[in-house]
Amino acid sequence: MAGGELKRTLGFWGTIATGVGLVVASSTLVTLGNGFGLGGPAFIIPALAACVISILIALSYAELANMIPGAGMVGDYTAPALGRLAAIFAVLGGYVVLAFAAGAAESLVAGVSINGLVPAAPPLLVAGAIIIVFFVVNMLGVELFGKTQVVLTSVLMATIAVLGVVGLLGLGGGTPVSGLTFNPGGWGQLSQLVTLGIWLYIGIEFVCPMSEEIRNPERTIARAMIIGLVVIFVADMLFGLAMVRYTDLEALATSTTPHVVGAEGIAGNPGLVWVSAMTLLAAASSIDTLIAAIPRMLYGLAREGMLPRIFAYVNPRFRTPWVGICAVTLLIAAPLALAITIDTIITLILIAAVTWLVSYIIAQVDVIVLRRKYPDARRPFKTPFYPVPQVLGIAACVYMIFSVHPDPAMRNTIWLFAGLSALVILVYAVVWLKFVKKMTLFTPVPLDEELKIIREHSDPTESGPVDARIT
Amino acid sequence: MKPNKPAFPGAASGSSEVSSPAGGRASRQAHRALRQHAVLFEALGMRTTRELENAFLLEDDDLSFSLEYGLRWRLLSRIYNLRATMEVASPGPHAGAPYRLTLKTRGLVGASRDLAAAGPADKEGQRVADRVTASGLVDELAGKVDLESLSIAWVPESGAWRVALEPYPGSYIHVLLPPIRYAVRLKEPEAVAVRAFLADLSGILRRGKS
Repeated sequence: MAGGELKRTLGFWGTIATGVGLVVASSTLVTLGNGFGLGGPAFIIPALAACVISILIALSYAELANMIPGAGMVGDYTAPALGRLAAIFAVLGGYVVLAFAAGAAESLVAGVSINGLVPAAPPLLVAGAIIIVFFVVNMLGVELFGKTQVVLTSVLMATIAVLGVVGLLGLGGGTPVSGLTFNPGGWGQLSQLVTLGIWLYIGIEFVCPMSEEIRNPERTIARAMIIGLVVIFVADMLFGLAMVRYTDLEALATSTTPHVVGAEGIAGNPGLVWVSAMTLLAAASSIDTLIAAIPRMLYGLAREGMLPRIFAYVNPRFRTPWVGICAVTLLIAAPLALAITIDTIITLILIAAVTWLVSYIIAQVDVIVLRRKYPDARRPFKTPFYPVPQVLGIAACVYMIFSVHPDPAMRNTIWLFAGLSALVILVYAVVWLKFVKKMTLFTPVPLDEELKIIREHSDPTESGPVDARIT
Repeated sequence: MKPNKPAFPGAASGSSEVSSPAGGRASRQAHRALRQHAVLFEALGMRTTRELENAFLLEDDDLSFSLEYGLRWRLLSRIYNLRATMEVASPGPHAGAPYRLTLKTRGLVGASRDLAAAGPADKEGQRVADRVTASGLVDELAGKVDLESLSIAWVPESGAWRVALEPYPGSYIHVLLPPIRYAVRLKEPEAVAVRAFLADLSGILRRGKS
């Protein structure tokens, strides 16, 4: 075989672009607007705190990604540190809840955005229509959007920072509001907005699974994540500070689409139309991604015996996995049965944030455990000032979980549903590991075995064909 | 004599570094997933004669084709569809205009399959399509492998048919949010069925009008 080495293609700036691109979503802009509405200009402080905490977390991920290259997600780092139960929980608790909650939130936000442009179009109808369109498109196996989606949405999202500059320089034609104070809600409320702030940055660690594409990963990953976080902070704060200059805080705090309201305040009707279009496109992209990709994974899992066989059904006429597509669509559409208010959307987002924060805690614990168990393992990148970043990061995540929202009623609702999600995942993980796979729950997988599993999965020439699995 | 060749545009030559074909760059993880499938065909007696960034060129005494990924872009995901492509040269006089045969399935439960021709020389194409359909090869393949698409394009400039078969299994998914990388494994019986289909199809196409 005339073999060769694949080039590492992602440099420093490409890695930053990947990280930044991943975290920009409509739900991020909703939390940005809502945060500024609740906290006023002072929201910049919890947002900055959340950025610093994200940097601490990013350092842990950088160490793990360099120590265990080729790993796909946090479960690969957790299995050798804490065992398989924690690994499954870290993956499903973060990712499945995120997919469900964020997918629903995206469609709801898009529905309300379009309703702002076209009052005759009810938000639920628009949200449902987006989901139905991509349901049908994917059932029929039609390619829609494609690469255009990537370019269009990225360009639109880049305008957030531009809108911010336009607003702060007074170029958008908006009328500044009067009587704006720096910290209208008080320091007590402000301290409870950090979790809202963390949503601005969740996802920056998605750079890590691409570690094998990145040139000089031991230097690039950490630097790119940190600079990416700073870029997101600056762009979001420019837009946020411009929003509060031209929009009543109450409107931002209570609107289901505060970013659209804010854009209208900054730049009038053009701002409204532009950001509404961006919101719709971003939501459509998210929904399309989930409905197109995840059923294919369910198809594969069913073929491997990990899911009921029905998920391996491919409609012979349209040649698409109908059962998987229906299941994913139902999951995303289920929250449409709820009444759409800003509270609904923020609740969904913060439920996902809480389970994601648990995933972050697990990742940072992984660093500490692996340092103790494998002190001599190769670590091309080591977190500076270890274990200070990990201890501070864990403490910050715990704090954010407990102070998830200033409103006690909403806080209790978020804890309830996040807790229920966690319980369901735990029960599934225990049943799956103990009774189906007959594996231990808490015994860590030896690091060299985990590295071997990752290598075998990646390069079958080392040991023959390998079962595909979720990475 | 090898009657067909992989339909692979832009393959570089003479380089020890894996090069990128015209189809676009695959991630390393996707490339490794693709290699898994190439290994499966190697276990059936084929040889990988060339490894490109998005393709493996496989050959044995009767058949050669390229195994590659076609990339579907989404904002937050990449879906790599497994594709087996080959060129089958025409043995004699051939249509001067192009046509394309694509798999059509009729009935909601997929009761019947055939190939439909489209293009300037669609009448000639339909004769070829009917010959392939009558052979039962497509039905046999569909009974063993979930198919995503099958197309047979007549390229008059090359005097050859370009076959592209996409089975449903074998795809690789890379989702950014939530972060998922998953390879849908092609099973050995499916690889056997794909290889047999391509070998038999090239025989039918080469037999021309007889």
